[in-house]
Amino acid sequence: MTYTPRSRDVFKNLSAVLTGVVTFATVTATGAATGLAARETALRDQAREQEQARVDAAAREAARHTQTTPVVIRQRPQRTVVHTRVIDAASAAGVARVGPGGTISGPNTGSSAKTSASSRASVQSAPIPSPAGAVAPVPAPSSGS
Amino acid sequence: MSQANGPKALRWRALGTYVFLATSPPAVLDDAGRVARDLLDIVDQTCSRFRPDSDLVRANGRAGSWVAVNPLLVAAVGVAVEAARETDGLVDPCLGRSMIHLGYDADLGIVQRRTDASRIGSAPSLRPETWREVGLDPEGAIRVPDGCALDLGATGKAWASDLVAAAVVDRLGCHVIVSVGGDVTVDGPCDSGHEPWAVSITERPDADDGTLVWLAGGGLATSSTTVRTWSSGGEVNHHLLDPRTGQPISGYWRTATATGRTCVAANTAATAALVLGPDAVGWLDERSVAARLVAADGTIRTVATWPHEEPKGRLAPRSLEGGI
Repeated sequence: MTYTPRSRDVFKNLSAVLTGVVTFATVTATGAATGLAARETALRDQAREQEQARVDAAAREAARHTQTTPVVIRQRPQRTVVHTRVIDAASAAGVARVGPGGTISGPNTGSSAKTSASSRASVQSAPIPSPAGAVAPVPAPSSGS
Repeated sequence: MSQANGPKALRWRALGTYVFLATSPPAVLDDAGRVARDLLDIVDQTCSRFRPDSDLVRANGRAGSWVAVNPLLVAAVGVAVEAARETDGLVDPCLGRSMIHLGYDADLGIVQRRTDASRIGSAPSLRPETWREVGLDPEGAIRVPDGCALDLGATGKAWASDLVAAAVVDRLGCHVIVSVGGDVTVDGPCDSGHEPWAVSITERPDADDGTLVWLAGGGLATSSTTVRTWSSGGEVNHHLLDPRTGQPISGYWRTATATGRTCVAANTAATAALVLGPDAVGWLDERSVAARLVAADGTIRTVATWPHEEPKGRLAPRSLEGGI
């Protein structure tokens, strides 16, 4: 086609139209795409929200189920920890020293004299009779073994 | 563990013997029992001569060398060495090989069930005062003297009794009485008094003719040649050896009960008395140890401040029997 001002304008107009069409189409497409993406995004969000709702509901159900389950108390194994001070006290220098101690009394002097635990080496004074109705303790055994 | 009816006390077996435990107030008895049981388990794991996995067996197996062990064993051996020092060797922890030679190489129940048992190996040579060569590192190591094996039977139960009592008081703040195989400890908070505890003294665990005394504090221990016996090489043996000969003591006294500031001190005195024989009364008297001795013929002799006993005749004579 001979390029003339008329053809130029036609071309220009046509170009504009085409451009516009293209543009419009592009915009439209973009918009459509945007809209489509937006819709898809919305759908995805909706799906995600629905999924989260399902998860939350399941968790609530599980919690309700747990609360209705009988609680079982299990005893944890207990371990005795012996402090060094205990071992030191039982093993200190002098524990094997033979000598007076272990304040002792017999049936002729009664069974219920109060004495201070710190005066183990002292001679025991006359005892106070046991209160009436007092329950005699079970004797600790001391025998060959 | 089983509880007695009426006044509360716990009884069970540990360390190859019986254990008795009572507390004041009784409400803490179960807690005290847990403390005691756990502690005695640890003592058994570290100090037993019959457990192949114990620290003591491991140390004995490497005599002459330093061996890393539980510090608890170091403490136990330290107490045993002090008892030897206190008695110039009458109470000696280095008699393990002599015990084994006589046939006491396993738990007593196993040894007693053997028939036609013979002596094991040749009699070990005795080195005077071998106990002075024992090496102790409180951080956790011991050295058993070369050619020696440690046996803590002379002080182990008494020390365990003191240890359990101290642990119960430390943990629960109560008053307590513990008996481990007849080795008794009374303990409690230092700032409070308590009624004395009743103790029944017999020669054998199954006897019912006990002498009743009351112990306000400290320790009381009974040792006897009439219970822990077995046969080997055609002879009846018992577990109390004379360190000077490596053989069972002659039995001038067959049972001794003594008191002390601690149960270890009481047991050291009782064991030394049996080894000393006729010299025991003077030795105990010099040290003001209240004690009760039963001669081979059943005659009872008391020493120092031991409470007067109404004479009830001699106890029945006993001969060594091969077993309980």
